[in-house]
Amino acid sequence: MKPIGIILGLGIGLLVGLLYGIDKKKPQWWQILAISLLCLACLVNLVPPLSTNLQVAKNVIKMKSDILIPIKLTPTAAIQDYHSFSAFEVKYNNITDTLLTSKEIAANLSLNTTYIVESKYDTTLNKFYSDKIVSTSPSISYPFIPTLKDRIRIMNFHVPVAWVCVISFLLSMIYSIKYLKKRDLYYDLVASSAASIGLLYTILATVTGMLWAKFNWGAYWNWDPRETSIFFLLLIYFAYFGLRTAIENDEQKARLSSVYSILAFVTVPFFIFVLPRITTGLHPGSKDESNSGPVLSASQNMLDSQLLIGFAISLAAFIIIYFWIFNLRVRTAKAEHKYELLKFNK
Amino acid sequence: MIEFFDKNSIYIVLGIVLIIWAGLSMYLFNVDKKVQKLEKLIETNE
Repeated sequence: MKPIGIILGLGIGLLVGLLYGIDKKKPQWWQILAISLLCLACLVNLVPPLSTNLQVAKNVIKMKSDILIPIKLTPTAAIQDYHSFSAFEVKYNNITDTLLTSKEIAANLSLNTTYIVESKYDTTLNKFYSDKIVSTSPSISYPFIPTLKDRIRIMNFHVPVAWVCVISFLLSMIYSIKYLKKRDLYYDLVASSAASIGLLYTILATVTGMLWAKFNWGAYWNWDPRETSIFFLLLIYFAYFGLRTAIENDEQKARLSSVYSILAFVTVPFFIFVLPRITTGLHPGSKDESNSGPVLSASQNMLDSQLLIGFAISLAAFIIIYFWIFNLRVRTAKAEHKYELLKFNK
Repeated sequence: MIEFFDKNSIYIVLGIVLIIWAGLSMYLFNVDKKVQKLEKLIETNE
């Protein structure tokens, strides 16, 4: 399920993104599809409530007993006068337990309907007590992780944005090779456009990651291996543009920056996929963990299937939006170059 | 403030979405500026 979801998101993003080529105007239906997909990605990742099941909730309260937990359950029978509370027999995946509720909630609960209820553990009665219904018959919900809570949704924005950087730098390298083969300045324009948008996405991945780090690890910057590697990537690609602005001759600029872009991309897989996994760090998937992170780990349980739907949609949306911006950037650079040539010939 | 955001972490998620939108919009404004400049140059040359 997990590889299929990721491949689908990646595949749809690349297929739709590359449709009509990189420098032809995208038709209106394509543009509407791109915007709709981005809106859908925001909706799918922001709206669904968080929930966990009774079994996990019981493990969570062993560590922290005063935490509010959204539990997904189905009331199967009403219990009369349970220590002066309203109570229901509830079921989730063959586990049966008793849920205590307030009188108002009890009046709103129907039997055999699935709910997500915000619950606290009553340590004297050893039962969950709820006074708030979060959602009724939820079709999609994301896993509740006590250390992350709603911040788990950030994964579906932060990770796809970081992945688009790799696609962008890869495109920059491909067009740099094309330039060195054919010596056509058009390929150099495409390569520099791809690198510039790749740099934009790298900055966005860094800033969103910093904000996430502040609330999960306590500081905006922790020099974790992945943070260090993205810092080096930023330096490498800022230097690419430094090199381009330092050379005036177009041919020389294109030749040198193409070679630089190829060499720069060689470091990308190492910095993004290898280094953070062979060293110890704060990011999931680092050396001190037994897996390679929630997204790339071979274990199916590492990424919740419903969270995966949001991830795949988000990945496809960010790739398609990337190709749209890339298309605009390439067309503008091409028109600028054409204008310069016309002026020169006059 | 940190405590508020820690309790209501959905606002952090919203902030992150806004940062992404702002970043992409800024880049688009930049491209738009370049196109405008180009249009003006073509106009003056015609």
